[in-house]
Amino acid sequence: MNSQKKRTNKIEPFRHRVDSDPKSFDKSWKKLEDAIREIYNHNASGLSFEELYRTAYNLVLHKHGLKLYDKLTENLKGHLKEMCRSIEDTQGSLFLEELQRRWADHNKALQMIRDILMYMDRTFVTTNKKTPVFDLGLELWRDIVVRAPKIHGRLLDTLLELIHRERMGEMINRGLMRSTTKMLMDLGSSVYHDDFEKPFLEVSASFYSGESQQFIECCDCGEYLKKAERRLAEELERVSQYMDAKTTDKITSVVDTEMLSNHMQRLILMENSGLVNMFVDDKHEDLSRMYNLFKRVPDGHSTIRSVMASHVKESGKALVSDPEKIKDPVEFVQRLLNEKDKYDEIISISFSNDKAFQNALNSSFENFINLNNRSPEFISLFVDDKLRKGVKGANEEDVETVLDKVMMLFRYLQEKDVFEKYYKQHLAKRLLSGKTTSDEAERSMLVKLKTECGYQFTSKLEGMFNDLKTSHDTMQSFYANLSGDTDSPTISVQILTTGSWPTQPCTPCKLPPEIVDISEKFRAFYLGTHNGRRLTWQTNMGNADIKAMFGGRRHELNVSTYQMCVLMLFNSADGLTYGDIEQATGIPHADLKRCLQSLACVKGKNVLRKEPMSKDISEDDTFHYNDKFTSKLVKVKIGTVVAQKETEPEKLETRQRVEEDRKPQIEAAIVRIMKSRRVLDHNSIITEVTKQLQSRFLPNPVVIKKRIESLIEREFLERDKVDRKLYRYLA
Amino acid sequence: MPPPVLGRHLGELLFDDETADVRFGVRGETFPAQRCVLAAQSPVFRAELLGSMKEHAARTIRVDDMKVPVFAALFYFIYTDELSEIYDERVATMAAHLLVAADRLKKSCEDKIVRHLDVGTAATSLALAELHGCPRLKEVILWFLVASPEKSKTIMASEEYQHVITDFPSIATEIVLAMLSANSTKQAN
Repeated sequence: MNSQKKRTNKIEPFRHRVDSDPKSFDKSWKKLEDAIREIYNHNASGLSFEELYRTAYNLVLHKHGLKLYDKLTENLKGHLKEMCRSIEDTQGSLFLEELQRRWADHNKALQMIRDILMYMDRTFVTTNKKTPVFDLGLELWRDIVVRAPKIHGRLLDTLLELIHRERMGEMINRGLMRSTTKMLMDLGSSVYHDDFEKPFLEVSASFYSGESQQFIECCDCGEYLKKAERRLAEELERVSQYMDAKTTDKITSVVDTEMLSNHMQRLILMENSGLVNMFVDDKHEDLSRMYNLFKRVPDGHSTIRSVMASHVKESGKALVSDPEKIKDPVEFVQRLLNEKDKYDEIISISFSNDKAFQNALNSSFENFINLNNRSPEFISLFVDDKLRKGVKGANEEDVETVLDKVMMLFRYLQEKDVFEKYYKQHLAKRLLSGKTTSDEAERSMLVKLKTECGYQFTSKLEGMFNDLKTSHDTMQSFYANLSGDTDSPTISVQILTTGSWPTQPCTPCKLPPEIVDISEKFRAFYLGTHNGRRLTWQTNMGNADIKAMFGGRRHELNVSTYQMCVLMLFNSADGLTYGDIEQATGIPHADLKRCLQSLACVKGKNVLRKEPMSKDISEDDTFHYNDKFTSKLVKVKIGTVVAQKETEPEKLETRQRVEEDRKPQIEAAIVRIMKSRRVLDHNSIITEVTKQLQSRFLPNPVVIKKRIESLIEREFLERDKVDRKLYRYLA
Repeated sequence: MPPPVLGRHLGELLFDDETADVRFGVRGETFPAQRCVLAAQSPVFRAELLGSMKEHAARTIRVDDMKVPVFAALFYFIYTDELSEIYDERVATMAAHLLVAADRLKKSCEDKIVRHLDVGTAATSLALAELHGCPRLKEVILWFLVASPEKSKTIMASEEYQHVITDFPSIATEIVLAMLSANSTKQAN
């Protein structure tokens, strides 16, 4: 039983059979050849894969691989030559379609042929390093069809022609374009590159070269940029639709070069529409477009930046040098702020807050602001104006904003110490005349200056505030202690610490007797509690309120101390000469002239009558109380001490003082540096000193040299005996 | 992580009628199968079953040149990745058949043939090794021949051996070389 079962299940051992039929190759090949023909004729469904595969398999197994491979190659060539002819014969616009149709056929056929010959591919082809079947089919297609003399040129021309038509506005068959370029890519990226991409880029370059030339002749800068932007977008879309992705960067680079790079200078500098005009007219959209387009080309942004910088410097220079424009300091600074706002807006809206541009703007401003050496003074006057009058229709926040913007201008100043001097003067006047709108705003400004320049800058200024507060307390306790005597005029004293305040040395004038009494009482009171101190009346800085009757009407006059002294004289005398007044009051000559002028020569404020009625004060003039004075207002202000733009002589004086103040600062810096470095050469000293002081002012190298020599004289330093340019610190 | 079960589940599809979408007719017997499983395991099956020729639409495919048990073993391998141990005694023969039938089995088959190598199978195995590019198998057989002059004589006298030499003349040279080098080693010792 068992053995029977065994027999039925017995497998026969494998027997190796020799193939002895010489014609078997031809028979097998014929089968395959016929099958391939059917495949190319779209009749594959009737074929048996099994059979064909096995046929090919056996051929290879029996060492006929080479013969099979060669026969296959010949066969494919034959079919391709036929296809080639039919493509060549196609007329006109159907050419591409026919090519695509045949390509699709060939691909399908190749796949099936490869499947049938899979065994050959995996064994014979691999061992003998032949081209695999599918790749062979592609190579043959490339060589016999695509590069056929009658097809090669026509194919490229057709593609380029269609692209050109599309560029000129026509609609073309993009699907066909896509499948054709894909075919080239399937044949190998070098085929795509050599047979299409390279000539495409060349043709595109000359197209855009021509078009850009045309545009630039007839368009203004803004229009041209719009067109360039449009073309760029078109090309990007075109590539994404029917070309290989890696052509993207190459074609955009062509457009960038031809349309932008090559015409950059001409566009930027175009008259009436170029970059400068865009700045002047705030053309934010155009500027934005230019920024984005020129980002793509070398030196694009740096060119824009340098044109902007020189334009800002130019217009800034005009602003600060125009005599008309610098008449009103407040207007002057307002114009600077407006200019800064304008460009800040441009950089924020059109240049995406690009830091490089912001820096260029800052250095341009720094450059022209310092061309006018009155800038520090004017900025201080601007702040003074705002702190006196407030910002129109503004609340606390707005004032803060304005002050912050002013601080930006402050940062550009090279001579910050000059600003400090003026700020002190103006602040003193504000505080003493009680003419500041907001204590908050004053304090806020101080904080900003302290943050910017450090404690030393603002310590004296803070001292001024403190003096006023202390004075207020002192006055309260003075009047609390005072007994009786309610007839005396009321005084309000502000005690200024010498050194904190910008006072000019002043010999006090002679006070009217009505005042002397109470003021001496105060002096006694103060010195009683502050032994060892010395008080000096600053009669050039005070003010007074005087009740007066003119033609039956009561008025209250607000006048300066000097004016008060002069007016009080007329209580006891009717007509006085200049000389009388000068002797009686002891007011210095220049001040007296100014004082009398304001009392007698100003329309609406002429509480005194002058003979003769000329505008100028001369020493032969006589003055009378003017009972014909009228004013609509009960309270009349005459010549308050308002901060004004300095006169020329005043300006020179201030500058001199600034220069004097700088000397010790320079010397201190030199000594500091030499103490730590011990030995240093001349140029290095100059560099180091400049670096240390530049947050306050820019020291003049000549002045530095003089200071070094002075220090040598005073034996802080010595010159090296061998090298005259070297200095040594003497301990 | 629980052990993988995909292999086992796919294996259960072997000869499963319900999920079958094609049948193979082998010398009268019918084997159901799933096209996608076969296509997944072999590019040839993929081209055949999913391609555009006759077999794509055919419900039954005829296979004439394979014996039934061989075919079954082949399919067993396709569905389970294992060589079946059903026919223990003739495993070498089975393996020889399968080597012809399926490339992928090569390694497993080579192992089996080597393990069961004897005088009767040596010559044909040599032919197989040469035809199907199994250098390891060839090497083993050569050493087998060379190791015992007795065995070599028997083998070389067989009809099978004559067929092999006719088809693959180079083998003769290789055998001579192998023998020479073996002899010299012996002499050295």
